[in-house]
Amino acid sequence: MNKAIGRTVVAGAGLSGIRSALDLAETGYKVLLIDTSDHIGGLLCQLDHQFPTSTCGYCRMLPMFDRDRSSQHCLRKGLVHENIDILLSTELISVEGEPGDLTVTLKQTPSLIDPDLCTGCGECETVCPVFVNDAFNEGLTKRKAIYLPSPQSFANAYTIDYAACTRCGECEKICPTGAVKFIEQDRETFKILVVDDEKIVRDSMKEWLKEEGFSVSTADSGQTALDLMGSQSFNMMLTDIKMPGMDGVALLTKAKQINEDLCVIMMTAYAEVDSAVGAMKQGALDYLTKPFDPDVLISMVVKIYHEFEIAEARVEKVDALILSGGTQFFRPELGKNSYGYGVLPGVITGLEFERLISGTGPGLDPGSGRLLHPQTGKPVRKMAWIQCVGSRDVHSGASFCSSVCCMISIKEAILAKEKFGRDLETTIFYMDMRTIGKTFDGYRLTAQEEKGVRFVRARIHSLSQDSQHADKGLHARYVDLGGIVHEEDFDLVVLATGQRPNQQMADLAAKNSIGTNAWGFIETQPFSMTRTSRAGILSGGSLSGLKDISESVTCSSAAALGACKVMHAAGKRRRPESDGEIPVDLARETPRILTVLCRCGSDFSKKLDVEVLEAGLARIPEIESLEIMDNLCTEEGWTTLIEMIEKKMPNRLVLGSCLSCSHKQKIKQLETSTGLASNLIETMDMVSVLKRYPGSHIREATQGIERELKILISKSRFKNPVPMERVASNQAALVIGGGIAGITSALSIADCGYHVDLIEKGESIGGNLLWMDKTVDGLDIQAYLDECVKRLESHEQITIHKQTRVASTAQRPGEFATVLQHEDKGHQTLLHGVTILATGGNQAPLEPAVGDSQYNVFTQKEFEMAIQDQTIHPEQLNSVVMIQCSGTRDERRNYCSRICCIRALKNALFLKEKNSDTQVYILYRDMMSYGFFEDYYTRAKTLGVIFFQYDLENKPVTEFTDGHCLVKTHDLLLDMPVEIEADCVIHATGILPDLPEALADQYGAALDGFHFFKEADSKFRPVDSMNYRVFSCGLSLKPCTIEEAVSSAEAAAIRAVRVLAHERLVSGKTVATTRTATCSLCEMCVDTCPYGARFVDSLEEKIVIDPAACQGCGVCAAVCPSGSAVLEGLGSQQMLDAIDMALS
Amino acid sequence: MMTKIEREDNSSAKGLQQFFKQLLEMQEIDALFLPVRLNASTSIMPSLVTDPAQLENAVPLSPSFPLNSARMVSRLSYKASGRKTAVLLRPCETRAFIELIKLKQGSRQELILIGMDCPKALTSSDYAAYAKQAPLADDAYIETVFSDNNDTLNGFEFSSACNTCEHPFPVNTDINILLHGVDLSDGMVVTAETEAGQQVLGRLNLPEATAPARREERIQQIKEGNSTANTAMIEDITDRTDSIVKLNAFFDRCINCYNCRNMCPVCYCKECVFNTDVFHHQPVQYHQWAEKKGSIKLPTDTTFYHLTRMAHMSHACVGCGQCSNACPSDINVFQLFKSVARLTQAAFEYSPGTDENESPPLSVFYEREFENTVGIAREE
Repeated sequence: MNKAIGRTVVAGAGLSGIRSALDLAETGYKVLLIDTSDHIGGLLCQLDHQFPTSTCGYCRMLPMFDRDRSSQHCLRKGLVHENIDILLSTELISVEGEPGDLTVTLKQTPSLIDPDLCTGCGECETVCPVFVNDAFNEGLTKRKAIYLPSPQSFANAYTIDYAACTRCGECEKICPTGAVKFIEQDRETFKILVVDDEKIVRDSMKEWLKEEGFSVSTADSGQTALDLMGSQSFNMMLTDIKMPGMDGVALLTKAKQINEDLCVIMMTAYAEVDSAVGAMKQGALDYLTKPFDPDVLISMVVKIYHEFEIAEARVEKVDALILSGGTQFFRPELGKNSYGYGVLPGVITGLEFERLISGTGPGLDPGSGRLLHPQTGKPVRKMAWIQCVGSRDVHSGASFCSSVCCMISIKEAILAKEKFGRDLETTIFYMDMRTIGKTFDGYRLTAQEEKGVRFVRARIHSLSQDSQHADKGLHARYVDLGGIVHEEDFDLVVLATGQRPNQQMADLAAKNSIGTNAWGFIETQPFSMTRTSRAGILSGGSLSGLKDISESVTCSSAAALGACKVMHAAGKRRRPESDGEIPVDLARETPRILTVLCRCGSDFSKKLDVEVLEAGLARIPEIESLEIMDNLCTEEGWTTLIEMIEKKMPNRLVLGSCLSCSHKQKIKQLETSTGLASNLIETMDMVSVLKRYPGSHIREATQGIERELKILISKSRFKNPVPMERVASNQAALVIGGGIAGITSALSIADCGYHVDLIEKGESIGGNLLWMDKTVDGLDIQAYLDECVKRLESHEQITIHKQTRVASTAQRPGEFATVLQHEDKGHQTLLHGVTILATGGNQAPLEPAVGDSQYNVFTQKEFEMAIQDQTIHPEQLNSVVMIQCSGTRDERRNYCSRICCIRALKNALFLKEKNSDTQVYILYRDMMSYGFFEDYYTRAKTLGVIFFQYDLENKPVTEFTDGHCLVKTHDLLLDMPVEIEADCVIHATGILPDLPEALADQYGAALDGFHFFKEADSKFRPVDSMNYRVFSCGLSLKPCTIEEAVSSAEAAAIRAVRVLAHERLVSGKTVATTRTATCSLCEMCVDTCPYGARFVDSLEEKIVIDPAACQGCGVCAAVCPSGSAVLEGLGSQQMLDAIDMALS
Repeated sequence: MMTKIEREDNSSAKGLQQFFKQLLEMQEIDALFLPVRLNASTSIMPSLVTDPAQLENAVPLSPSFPLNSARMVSRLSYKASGRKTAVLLRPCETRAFIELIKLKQGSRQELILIGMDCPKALTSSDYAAYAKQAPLADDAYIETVFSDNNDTLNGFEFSSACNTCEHPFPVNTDINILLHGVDLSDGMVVTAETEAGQQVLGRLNLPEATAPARREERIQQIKEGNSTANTAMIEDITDRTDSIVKLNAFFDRCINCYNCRNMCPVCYCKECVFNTDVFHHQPVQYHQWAEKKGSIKLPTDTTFYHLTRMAHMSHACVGCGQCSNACPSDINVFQLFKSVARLTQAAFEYSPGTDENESPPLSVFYEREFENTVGIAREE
């Protein structure tokens, strides 16, 4: 039986693509990760700060065990994993076939720069004559046509912007390593047809394009164009829209019938942009707004030429496809643009603001560190954020909420305050503050109360500027809740622009019959956030609608689970684990260290006195020799190095060069070709060391290099290759909780081929779904639950234990031993490798003060159940009041439960449907109808549901008289008290988690301040605990809808499968051990270990370590006074020696 | 529960012996751990007694404090013995033992901890001289040390650790023997502090006692006096050690014998890192250092050793003074340790030995602590 290894294409290498790819790669499947851009990392490369920590935590997504299979550095710098192949500048063109047997066609634009030769020296950039807007900095700065894709990227290889490049060839001439190679292009075979009724337009376009080397024909009408197309074939057509007779859109349709592959670009006047956008939906590739600059035309044509003609198509056979293209942002300049974006100086988007204040961005004054106005260069004193730009706005075609902008703006305002001082005034203008996560409300309060961010509930209609007094800034006019008009000026206004579908993915979907929703986003199947309309094709991350980092990561893990199930069902194999050969023990060999420095051509030789360096290192006996090279990056240089190692046979190597020769892949190469273990090779980035001595004397630079070298030498001489340890790992799972999250995670793990024990404390499986009827979308919940339970009960890999609880558990490396207690049958011990805590949650009970048993006062759940058992007849209700945030989002339970507003809208719509005369009132603080749920809010308003907003100071009260409830509230809009007589009052009391602290504690998990499961990292590891074998999902994790619970359960499942897939788990190269002889068993290391990697073996009386769990952080070594906790490869002697060397 | 230990033949010392004898005769108690005068000697050493008859040499209250017994109690209790032992400890010994319990080096599961108002101590060398010259009888000593005027003893100064002690009263014990502010002619007062203590004490059928009237007043007086002395001592020692040059000078007589460590009750390591190869250097290294500076003193790691010990243990220092007591070169290690311990303990808001449930500072992590130190504090 020689089955193929499972392989998945992940299209999109941003946050979500990386998450899916890593989950699959860690499980042991192969991944082809592609991206249309020239660097991986996506949007997060442009963002330095995430809330709530105001830092980045991208690297927390990296593998935790067997981590030497992958790079272990910032994901903005790049990613290397043995099971992941990465293709950049690559587009997914089509996908055919069935799950387990998909054929995908990709198109890759080749680079004119050989990344293996490019050293990132930047000479080419100096000579390049072309300046264009730097897209990475959102156009805030200029860059050359030859540039570094991202400032953090570790490969440091330059790339060429074809659209901007004039092919002058200066870069090719100056490149010291010959990395730039312009290939001969045969542009004459690229035939372009220009259609316009104006002769002058036709002729000038023909002239411009001919100059670039293209073949150009012209036509003065649609009919002429069609005639021409009958006689010859064209690659591209540029057509005017408004033409007498057949207009451009009609021509487009007909032309596409003749030649489906024709690239069509529409040309249109500013006023007709809408029809151009419409044409794009019918297959046009792009459009140009008249009058246009020749440069704009040419760059667009050249770009398309490269993408379609130069790009190389490749066909790949894979099992599954994950689409992770993310979303695009709304472009205000394409609409009515009442905020004058692109016109008024100082109006920027949120993303531009993030670039402005980034460490690699252009916005800070290096002297004062103050925030400077991007156009005027003056310090900024007053800033405003305008929410819902291109969201919750029917006029811009967006009847949805973009879900994440509220939190992004709060973060940006806090960042502005933190970075530029409290004197900077920050105001957020919003409609509802959608703080829909469990910690978000607290974050908003911090912004408001601690940081001094001002929140104003108002919609600014437009911005203006007095051209005579530009220094007064941007003028805003808004009406406050009380109806009073305010006028205020701001230096900088940030537009919180909403989401739009990813155009490239939408095109792909249209051509490959992948369903999209009404707004053009990829649509997923009922109760799933990842399954598209085509089996085997999954949607990850924000592609199906904007999500914050944690939701994106969760959804992408869920997508990986989907792919994993496909591969398992197709009978595909996982990649075998490497045997991990036992390295040679060097403890008794004298260190012989070969030290090699590359001077990078002539570049560093001006800064380095080799004789002084040789003299300085001469006294170190372990140095085999010091070799100076000038061309390590060339093939010749690399071969010289390999020969040198083979000849001199050193047992350690210290290598000083630029990054292009010393990154992980190169070192791996060196290991393969010379047999010298990669952890015996120490590298020094010469460029960054020399940067510390700008313009200084050659002596200081030489001393600096000498010191760095000596430190590396001392580190090196104590090194001994440590065999990577393996720990036998149990391959069964325990799922605690039989709600929808528990059911889904159990089914998901079982579908990947591993045994699951599911325990439920109650008598029946189903949890909260048991009392629910329909979702707001009208989906039948009972039917879904029945289907799930049926599958669960009949699955041969699943054992269900009802009326059962966890009595106790013990963990040892690779395994848990949990004692179960059945209500009647007594105890049973289970051995399992992972644990999923899906203990769920409940609706909070009604506070006694607000109810009266004689009246119809309900929680949402009670109301829905009363409808179901017909104790309430909706047709007979005259007036219903719903009170949101009842007993929540205040000092007692200060979090938003996320789902209550949607539930209220569902019930309101239900009541209106049953009896349109029923008066329904919703008393709310902020309507949290995030994402596409916004539509139900709009619908409720249309159907006459009345919304009153209240604030914390004036909570609604209910009085009970004469058979009626009288609800008293203070409406903010009217600024007056309101009294409503109601037959029925429904309180939204929010969610209470049901995860006992003692249970979580036994499994090494922790609870957060609200008693939900505490994530290892709320953003980047949203379903993990610090114990790498314990996960959570559903309501015990955080408040969520059914499909979000399913998504988190699938995410928890793939995170578990990652572990379960390995019979033996491999540790990293740096792990802690214990010197048992000197250990006093004080257990400080056990208490301190953040990863739960250390255990007391009470029989053997020693500390044992799960080497796969150990991350080599060294806290145990720091806390152990007797030096019995030791970090292999990073010992005290080594450290002391390095200090001595640095000081010598 | 507050009861009375009556005098025997007008002697408090004999009364106490009788009390312990009664304890040991109880079925629930298998052994007693307390200071015993060794046969034909002036030495009083902590001993494990199982025969009630041998308690006639027990000296529960004396100026002899040759070692901190916490480590001995740790040896008796780090694993189950199947025996119940009543243990008499000075307050600083109890506090050290509580620290050892936190470090899993001992357990009170099979112990009844008996605390007492501290009878103070002389340094070991002073005690030897005092014992040779004209020692007070055990009863006279008790009368003296628990009187209002107890600053010196036959011309001998009490140990500076005792004079500057801020916690000379028992905490964390099951049973306490109270002596300060008590009219000793009417017997001593003994209280039960825990349920376990209550059970034991209840069975002894001792007469009830009333709260000693002057006790609170005496506690205040002693605390204030010692606190003033402590502040003065710390000021003085800080002045003498506040630079690396002064610190090296302070330790210039140190011979790296590690006695201070060996006698430190909270230095619990089975094998100290300074006994292992961790700080052994290559021979060439010594030469390189010497070549750089012209000369180096050997051993090279004297100050480093003391700094390491401060880093490891100063948060747990209970101020018993045994480090100074053990120093053959007469270096007042205790004073320096206490001055550093005060800072580390304040930094972690940690009070060693006072609360068994308070985790050692290095084993707990709070998201928002030492933000300035770790560099995450934000300027606003």
